[in-house]
Amino acid sequence: MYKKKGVVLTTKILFAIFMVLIVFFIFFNLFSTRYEKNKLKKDFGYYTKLNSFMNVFMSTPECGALGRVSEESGSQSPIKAIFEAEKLSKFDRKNRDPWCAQNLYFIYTAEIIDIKNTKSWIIGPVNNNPEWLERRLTTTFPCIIKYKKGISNPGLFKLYVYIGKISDFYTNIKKSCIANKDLTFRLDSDFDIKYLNSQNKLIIGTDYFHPYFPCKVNDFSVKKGKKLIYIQYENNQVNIRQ
Amino acid sequence: MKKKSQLSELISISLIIIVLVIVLVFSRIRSARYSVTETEAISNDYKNIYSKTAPYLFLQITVKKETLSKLFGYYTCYNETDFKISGISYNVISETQRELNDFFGKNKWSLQIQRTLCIDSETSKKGFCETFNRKNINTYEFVYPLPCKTDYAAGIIYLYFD
Repeated sequence: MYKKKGVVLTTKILFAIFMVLIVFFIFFNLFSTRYEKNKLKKDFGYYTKLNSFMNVFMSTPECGALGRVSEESGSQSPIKAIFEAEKLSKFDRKNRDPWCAQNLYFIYTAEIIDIKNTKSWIIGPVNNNPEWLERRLTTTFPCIIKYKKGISNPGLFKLYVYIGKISDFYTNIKKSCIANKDLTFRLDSDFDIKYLNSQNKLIIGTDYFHPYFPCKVNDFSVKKGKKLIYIQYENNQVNIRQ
Repeated sequence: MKKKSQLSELISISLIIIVLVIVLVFSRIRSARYSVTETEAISNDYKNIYSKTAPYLFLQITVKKETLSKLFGYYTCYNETDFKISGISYNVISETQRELNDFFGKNKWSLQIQRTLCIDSETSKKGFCETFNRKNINTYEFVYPLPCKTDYAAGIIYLYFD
């Protein structure tokens, strides 16, 4: 009699444990699906922005696209995906975030390659595989490179987009400049970040490039690790505090 | 009586599990569907930018000193595949094949100049291009100026993605 009761009790306990495990498993799966979906949403968002930015860059005469900007009206008459070699040379390998096409979501490098004579122009940070890189998206598009002598060669336009905490931090400083407002940012970096205003140099670990900020940004230094950063906008200047 | 209550307990627990599994399955399906629709939207975005720009860029490529569109114009006006412009000799077929093989890739294109000439990666023939044996084709029409009169002629570029 007692033996039978004991067996029933054990079965019930085992069943209860099994039930709890199943419910946990299902809820875990539900939450992980939700998490994955949110992550996908963010990733897809980057791809959408990448496509539209590529379109913008290839149609901006100041960045190298064939066409002019009217000084009177400010209107543009670009021809998409046809680049002028002379204009491109102005930005080539300067290791500088270009002022001509601003992006508030990521850091980017544009590479334009002349297929015929294997000449290339690099606009933006020269190192397209920096040590601080978390993720890189790349897209390519056929283009034409027009030289002054009237020669047009087939080319390839490559856009490298750098995504991650450091990119977000950089673009947040830009956003603060443009929106004229204070921002807070949770930075989790494996590298020390330093900005030298006098040289306009953003040093990340051992890598650096010349940023483009739409307002004055004072010198700052952020050690690696998890930090809450205050981006303070005041009198057309930005100060970074921790 | 006791057995009945145990049975109903078991049934209700099983029902809860079934409902949770259904929710999980639907959630996974929704997530997968989201990925598919977003991927489609992004590739359509790219295709849209591509189809409005890239297929027409080849007209701007220069051979020696003239653009391909000018060479097509000469061919259309004088119905000759070999001609001279400013003392420089051109063969519209070989120049086109070399440039478009570089630009679009070998066997990835065919070009119809008006209704009279079809050029592809390796061959050319009078008349229309035959594309019926290719599966994934995108067709783009273009126009080019004629040097002999103030007018334009039309052509078609077939791009193969199979």
